[in-house]
Amino acid sequence: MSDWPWVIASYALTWIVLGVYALQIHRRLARARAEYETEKNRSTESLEVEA
Amino acid sequence: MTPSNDAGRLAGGVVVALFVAAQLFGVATSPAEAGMGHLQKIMYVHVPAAWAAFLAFGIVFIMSILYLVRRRESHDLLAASAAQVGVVLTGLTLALGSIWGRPTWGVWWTWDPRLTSTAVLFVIFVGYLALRSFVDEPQQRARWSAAVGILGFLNVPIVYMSVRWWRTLHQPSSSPATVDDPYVWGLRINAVVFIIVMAYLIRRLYQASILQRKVEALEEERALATEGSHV
Repeated sequence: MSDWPWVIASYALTWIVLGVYALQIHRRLARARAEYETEKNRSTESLEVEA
Repeated sequence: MTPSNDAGRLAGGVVVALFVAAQLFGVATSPAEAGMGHLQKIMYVHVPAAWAAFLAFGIVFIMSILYLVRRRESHDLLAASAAQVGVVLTGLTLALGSIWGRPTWGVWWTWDPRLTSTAVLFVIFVGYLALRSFVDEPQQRARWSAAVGILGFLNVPIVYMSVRWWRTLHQPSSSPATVDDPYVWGLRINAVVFIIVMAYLIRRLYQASILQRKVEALEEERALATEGSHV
């Protein structure tokens, strides 16, 4: 059997694993940023109401 | 779009470009190896993934010690981010080794000391991540994680030395000092790029963890303020 299918499978797996993982981290960071902005605005609003 | 978003996207684009370039360089410049033929090209992903994982666990080790000494939450969060990236890279290393092992040794898996010690390393740090999800109290979680992180890292030198201590099926460690000339630069470049990928992923994960902590702190602050206004 040729070596190439094994080589291609290795590189494909590397790209799939790291690509999916990087995307997951990217989404987590985007969600964290959005939540932080929302929470910051809420806190500012509640402080303004109290004042 | 904020400037930090833009910088993150730009850094991500640069990392992907480096990753593609390094792999193309490795594959294009290495001739078929005398014993293994083109299977040798798997070395450019398998070995750098292992090195990057070891380095990630090295970060866990250093940050865990720093946490126990200084008790700063940032050290704990950085250790946790590095552990997660290390687990993904170790899992990838094991899977790539399995793909390389099948045509070379005729088996997907064997209980060779290098493979077994790497699997143990993987399980220890999966346990580290599981522990973090089970313990709710942040300081207790950080203390226990630091202990597991330090003890877990002690397996890294065992994995590294396993091919010297127990000469079995796995070949001796590949490094620029041990591979033939045509493969040296491919290995060096891919190793550097994998380490850049590891650092990029840890940084992004750490940023997300810091923001999540800030959100929790703001929520607590608001809850306390609301309680105070009702009293």
